[in-house]
Formats: sequence, structure tokens, C-alpha cells
Amino acid sequence: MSKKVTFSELVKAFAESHDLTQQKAEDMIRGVFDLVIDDLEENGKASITSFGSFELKDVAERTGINPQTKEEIVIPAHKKVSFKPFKALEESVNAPFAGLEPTLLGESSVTETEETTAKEEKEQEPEVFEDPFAEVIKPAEEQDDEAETPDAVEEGSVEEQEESEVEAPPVFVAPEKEKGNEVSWIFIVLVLLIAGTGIWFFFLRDSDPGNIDNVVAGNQAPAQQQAEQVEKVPPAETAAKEEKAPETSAASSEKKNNVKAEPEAKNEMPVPKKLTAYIIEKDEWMWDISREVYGVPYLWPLIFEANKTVNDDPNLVEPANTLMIPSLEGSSSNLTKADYAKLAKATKLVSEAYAKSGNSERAKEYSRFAAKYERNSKN
Amino acid sequence: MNKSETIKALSERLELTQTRTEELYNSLVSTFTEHLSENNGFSIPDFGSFSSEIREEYKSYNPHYKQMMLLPKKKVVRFSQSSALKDEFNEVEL
Repeated sequence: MSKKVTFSELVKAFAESHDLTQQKAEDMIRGVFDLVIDDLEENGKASITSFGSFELKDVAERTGINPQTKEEIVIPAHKKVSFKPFKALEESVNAPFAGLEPTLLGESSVTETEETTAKEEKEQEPEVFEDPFAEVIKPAEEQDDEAETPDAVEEGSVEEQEESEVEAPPVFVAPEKEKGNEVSWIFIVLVLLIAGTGIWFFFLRDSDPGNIDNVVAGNQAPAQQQAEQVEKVPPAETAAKEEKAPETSAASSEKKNNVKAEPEAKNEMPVPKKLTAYIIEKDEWMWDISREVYGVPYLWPLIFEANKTVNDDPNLVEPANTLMIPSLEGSSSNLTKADYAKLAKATKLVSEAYAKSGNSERAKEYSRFAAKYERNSKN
Repeated sequence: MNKSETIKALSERLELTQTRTEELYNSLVSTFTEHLSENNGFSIPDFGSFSSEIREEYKSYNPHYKQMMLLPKKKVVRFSQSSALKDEFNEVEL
């Protein structure tokens, strides 16, 4: 799909648009790159302003196979010119996809096939979301929320959702006629459905292998509806949304009350608001505890700091002990500056403790982390 | 070599004023950028070729979040050096 512009075309167009002879235009373009080569020879580095930079890189010797003779040959070490586009160029080239952001993938709440369907959809609709709602129901967060609700609610909600889609259409005569809007609505609903059925499928398969047939049938139903949805999307979405809101808030308030929840909810635990006690189950290391109470493992230095001293070995956690869990100002996925400062201090302590217990590699590693957190706390 | 040095060297080569050279230089760079934005690759003789292509989305481990992340598709610029350029920096073996 990408076309090629030949050098002569380039020269001709440049000459015409600037009232130059073709010879001059060619000299100009060649001159720019000759200078780059000169620069590369001299310094091993060169750049073209607001375009990109070139660098001479060493390539190590390696063995390759001649594709014709299947002979193994040694490709000697050599130098190679690499190019790195500057930000201005990068952004202008990437303009059509500028709105896409990386998303965190949950630990395994979505099965392989569903991920691929989600992918296909994404490829069809690279448009930027403009609705205010898009923020609220980003796929990743949305999965997390659903993962927390118990199976029963989950099943119920999926079914209700499907029903509402079927009933809704006559009531609504699509309020948003704009194409872009409709497309993003469709996308959101598809993601909702897929995530919902994915989790449903996941739970059911775990609990009862005999049910799989049922589940697969259930899985196909929404897929068929997806086709019908094209015109019915706005109502369905509204219905689904209304339902979603109370569900989510209920789930989160429920979580605030018990810090140690069931194993499935591990990853989405809310941040404890106060200093909380935590009873160690057998053979749990602080890393695991942090994952359970904060949702992420890397906050464990905070727990260490609250409970241990420099003289303890961070690698040891004796079972049947009660640990204090310090609170966070922000949330575990969005730490505030104060949290980072605290984390930096705690990590430093861990590093010292490692140094004392003779684990110098770990000590170095954690002192690096501490430095990083400290930087984060400042900006 | 920074921009002003480049412009100076170029203007001597082309026998043009520095202002004019800078104008040409800027517009040349924006021409390149436009071509690449419009999916048009181009090549410079004895130097190499530039092209833009879509890099598909892929999953990668984010060490900060300690989790897998889905990185979205992106359009990127590729450069491929010409063999003449390669020989320029490597002794040609025969």
C-alpha cells in the first residue's frame, strides 16, 4: 500500500516549487545527505533538523545461512547506519493512530480467542474515542470491575444486558447520527459483551467442565447479536451503562470493607485507607502480600518498612505472624508524590537490609529502584 | 554539526545566500515529512531509502507495572541504508 517516489520525481517537484533548475535542486538534496555522510565519518553521528538523526552502529559478527545454497556463512562484524526519527516526524507520520494508548492486560481474565476478536475489532476502528463515556469504560478497567463481582451477579448481568439489547431498539431512534460516534458505541458494546462472556466462560469452566457446551452456546448468542446491533447500538449501550454503574460501585464498596478478599479478587484490591493488620497465611512472602492488599507486588517495601528493621533479612517471612499494612495516599496504580517518597524511603531500607544480610546484588537492585522512586516523587 | 553550520556549508556548495538555503532546507525537510505521512517512501541515491509502515499492535511486558501491556498499532518510519552507504563505512572485501 505504500507508494514509492523516485528520486527524479522528488527533484522535479522540489525544483518546480522553488523556482530552481533541476540541477540545483538535485545538488541541494544530495548536498544535505552528503553532509550527513561527512558528519557520520567524522563523528559517527549526524542529524537533519526536525527530521531525524543518523548514527553509525557496530554490528557483531554472526553466522547466517545462504538461502540459495543453504550453506552456513559467517557474516563479519560491520558498521551500519541507523536512523531514528525525531519527535516531529514521528508524530506527523503517526497522526492517524495518535489517539491510541497502551492498555494494561489483566492477568488472565480474557482467553486467547477473545483477545484475537478484540484485536480484529480494534483494527477495524482505529478512530479516536471522543465520547465522555469512552473514558469510563476502557476495556482493561472494565474487565477488572467485572472480575470482582461474584459469578451469580456476573451471569445475571450478562443475560440482562442481552435482553435489554433486544428490547430497546423500537424505543430509540438513534440520537447520534454521526458515524464516528456510532462506531465508537459499537466498539464499546462489543468489548463489554466480549469481556462479560469471557469472564462468565472462565468461571463456569472452572467450576464445572460439563457445562462447557452451554457456555459456548451462550458465547455465540452475543456474537450473533453483534451483527444486529449495528442499528440498535445507542439504546443498548445506555441500558448497559446504567446497569454497569450501580454494579461497579456496589462492588467497590463491598471491597473496602474486607481487606482480605477471595483469591480471584487479589489483583483488584482497593487501597487500604488506614494502617491495616494482615495475618500471614503459610509461606507467604511480602511480595505476595503486597499483591494481595495493594493489587501490585512491587509495593512490598512499604510493608517491610512498617514491620521490620534493617537487621532483618527481607527474604524471610515467618508464617503465622501479623503484619501491619501501611496506607497509600493515591491508589496502587496511580501513586501520588508522597507515596513515591514513602516508597523510595522504604525501598532504601530494603536495600540496606539486603546489604546486611549479604545479598549485595539485591541491595544494588533495590537501591536503583529507590533512586527511581525518588525521581518519581519529584516530578 | 548543527543546523546553522549545515546551512552555511550548503550555501557555499550551492552558491546561494544562507537565508535562501535555509528556506530550501526547511521546505525540503517538510517535503520529506509529508511524503512519509502520506505513505510514500522515497530513496536518495547512494544513501538509502525511507519508508513508513504500520507496526501492528503487540504485547509486551511493562517492568514498571509488572504486567503485560498491549501496545497499540503505530505508523513508524523505516530507513534502509543503500549498499553504497554500507561500503562507505566498511572496507569492501573482495
